[in-house]
Amino acid sequence: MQKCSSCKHENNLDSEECQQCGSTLKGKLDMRYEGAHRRSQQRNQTLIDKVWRFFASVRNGMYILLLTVLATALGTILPQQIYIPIGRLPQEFYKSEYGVFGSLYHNLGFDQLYSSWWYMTLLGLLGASILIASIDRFFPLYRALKLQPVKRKEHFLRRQLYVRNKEISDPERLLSHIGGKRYRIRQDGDTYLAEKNRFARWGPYVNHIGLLLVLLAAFLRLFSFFYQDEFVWIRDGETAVVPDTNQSLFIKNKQFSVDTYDVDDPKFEAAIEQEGRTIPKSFSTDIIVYEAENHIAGDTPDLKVLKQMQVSVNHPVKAAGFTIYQSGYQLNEFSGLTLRAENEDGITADFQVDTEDPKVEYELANGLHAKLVDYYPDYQLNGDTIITATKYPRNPAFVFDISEGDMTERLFISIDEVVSETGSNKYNIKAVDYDTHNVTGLSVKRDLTLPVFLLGGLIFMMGLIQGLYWQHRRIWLHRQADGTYLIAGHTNKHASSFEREMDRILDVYDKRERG
Amino acid sequence: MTPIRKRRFIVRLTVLAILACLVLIACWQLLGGGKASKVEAGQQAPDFMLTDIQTGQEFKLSEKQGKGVLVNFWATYCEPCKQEMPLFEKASHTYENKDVIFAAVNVDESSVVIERFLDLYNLSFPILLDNGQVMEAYGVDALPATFFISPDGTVNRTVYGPLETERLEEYLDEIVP
Repeated sequence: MQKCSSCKHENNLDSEECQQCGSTLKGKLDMRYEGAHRRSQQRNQTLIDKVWRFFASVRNGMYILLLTVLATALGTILPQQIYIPIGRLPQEFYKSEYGVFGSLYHNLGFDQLYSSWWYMTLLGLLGASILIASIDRFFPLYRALKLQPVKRKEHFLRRQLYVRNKEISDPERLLSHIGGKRYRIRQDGDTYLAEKNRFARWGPYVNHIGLLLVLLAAFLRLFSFFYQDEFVWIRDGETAVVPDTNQSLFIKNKQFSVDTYDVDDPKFEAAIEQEGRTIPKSFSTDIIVYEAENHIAGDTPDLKVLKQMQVSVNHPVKAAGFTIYQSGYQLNEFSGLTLRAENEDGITADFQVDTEDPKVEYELANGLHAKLVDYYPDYQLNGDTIITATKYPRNPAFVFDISEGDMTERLFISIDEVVSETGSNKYNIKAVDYDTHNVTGLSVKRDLTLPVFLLGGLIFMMGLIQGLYWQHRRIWLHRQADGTYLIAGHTNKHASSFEREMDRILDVYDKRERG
Repeated sequence: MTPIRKRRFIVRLTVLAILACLVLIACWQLLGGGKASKVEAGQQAPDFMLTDIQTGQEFKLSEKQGKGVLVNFWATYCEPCKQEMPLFEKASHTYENKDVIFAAVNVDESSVVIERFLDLYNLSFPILLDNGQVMEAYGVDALPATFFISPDGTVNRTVYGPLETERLEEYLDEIVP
C-alpha cells in the first residue's frame, strides 16, 4: 500500500497516480509488508475484527509490553512473599521491615505480584498481541512474496531504493555476476528478477514463536504436573511425607550433619572471630526416599525403598521424578535432658527425660520419686502464665512433683532455672546434660518447564540471527522501450551494504565490457 | 459475507477464543492455586486412620460413613482451640443421638501434654494423635481448622481458623444424617 500525500487515499504499490484525486504518487515505496493488504485494515468490522485489530497493532503491543515491563520491575522493589524468612507473617514482616510503604506494598498484593491474576492477564495480552500481530503480517507477506511477479511496472521500479539506467549489451553476463553473489534468477520475457535470502524476512516470526514458547512455559508452570515446589522439615531419624504427592512419597532423614570451618586453621581464624561463631562450610543429609501405594493418611505407611543417598548443599539428588535440594537446617533441638535431683541429705541421683514424649513417673536411686505434672516443650512467659509456643522441644520446661514419703515439693525446671512453686526448697533439681538432634530442611522440586523455556530461548535466538545476519535482497532488470535497462534493487535491511554490492556487480560488469 | 471473509472471521474467532481460554485457565489456576492442596467443600473427605488416645482404638474415617463427622485439628498451645473445645464437648453430647461423631486431631504433641489438657477440659470425644500425615492430607497449615463431613463422606463445610461459635449448631445440623 502507498498513501497519497495529498488526499491520504491508499493505493496499490504499482499505481502511478492516486485513484481518488489523480495526483502523481512520489517518494520511496514503503516495502515493509510488500504492499500486501493487512487483513486487519479492512472496513465493515465486526466486534471480533475490532478485537483482532487491537491486538494486530504494533503500537498497542508496545503499550502492553511497556506495562508488563513496568509491572515486572514493580515486583522487584521489595522481596516477594515466597522469599521472606520462613515463619514470619507477611503482614508483620512488610510493616516492620519497610514501614508504611511495606504495608501498602503487601496490601496491594505486590508481594505476590508474579502470581497475581492481573499479571497473568498482562502476559496473556502480550502473548495475544505477539501471536495476532504475527498472523496478521506473516500470511499476507508470505503470499505476496510467493506470488510476486517478475514483471513490475516502471513506476514501481523507479521508486525503489537503488535505481540505475544502463546500457547492457550482454544481460546474460550481468546475470551470471549476480548469480555469483548467490542470487536466484527468474525470467519473464525481457525482465529478470534476482532474489536472495528471502528467509531472513521470517526472522521476526520465528523469534515470536520462541517468545510464545517462553510464555507457554510460564503457563505450564501453573500446573503441578509440570512444576511443583515443596519443602519438608525432617528431624533426625524421622520419616516425613512430602506434601502434595497424594501421600505417595516419603523421605527419611537418617542423619543430618554440618561441616564447619576449622577454628584452629590460621586461614579462617580472623574471619571466625569477626563473625563470633563457627561458620558452616557445608551441610548434608543422608536420606532414604520411599514410595507408598494406596496409603491412608495417619496409618503406618507400607514403604518401598526407592533410593538411598546423600544430599548436600549444591549437590541435589534426583528421585521419583523430583529433585531434592538441601536447603535449610535447624540445629540442636533437644531430644533428651539429664536432670540431677538432690535429696535433703545432699545425695544426688540423675535421671533422663525424653523431651519428645516424656514419661510421667520416675523412681530415683536416692529414694526420691519424681512425677511429671506438666510439660512445656517450647516455653515462654505470656504475662504471668507459662505457655508453650510450639510442640517442638526447643526450650523445654517441666513441672515436677518431687516426693519422699509424705513430703512433696512442686518444682518448675527449665534449662537454666529452677523455681520451687511450693516455696519449701527442700529438694534441688537441675539440668546437667542434654542430647540434641538436628532438623534438615529439604526442597523437593519438579520442573518440566525448563526444556520448554530452553527451546523457546533457542528458537528466539535463531529468529534473531536469521533476521539480523541476512538480508532479503532483490534486483529487477527491466528492458525499456529504448533498449536500455532499468536496474532496480531492494533490500529489507542495511541499505548501504546492498548499494555497495550492487555497485561492485555493475563495476565488474563494466570492466569486462571495456576489457 | 464472502466465503473468504467468512473463513477469516472463523479463524479469528477461533484464535481469540483459544487465547481467552488460556488466560481464563491461567487465572483460575492462580486464584485456586494456593488452595490446590486444601480440602474444599464438595470434595470427598480424604480418608485417615489414627489411634484414639482416649480408648486406644483405631479411628478410620471411611468406616464412619452414614454418620456425620466433625473433624477438628487442634493443639494445646492454640488459643482459639482452647475456646472451641468446651463447645465441642457440649455439642458432642447433644449430637451423639443424632449420629454425628466428633474427632479432634492433635498435631502430634507428647502424651503428657495432651493428657493434662484433657484433664483440664474434661473431653470425652475421640482425641486422635496425628503424625503430620492427616494434616498434610487436609492441607491444614494453621490451627484450628474444622471440617464438617456429610454422612456420604463428602466435605460439607470447611472452616480454616476459629469457628463462629454461635453457628456451630447450624453447621452440625447440616451434616445430621
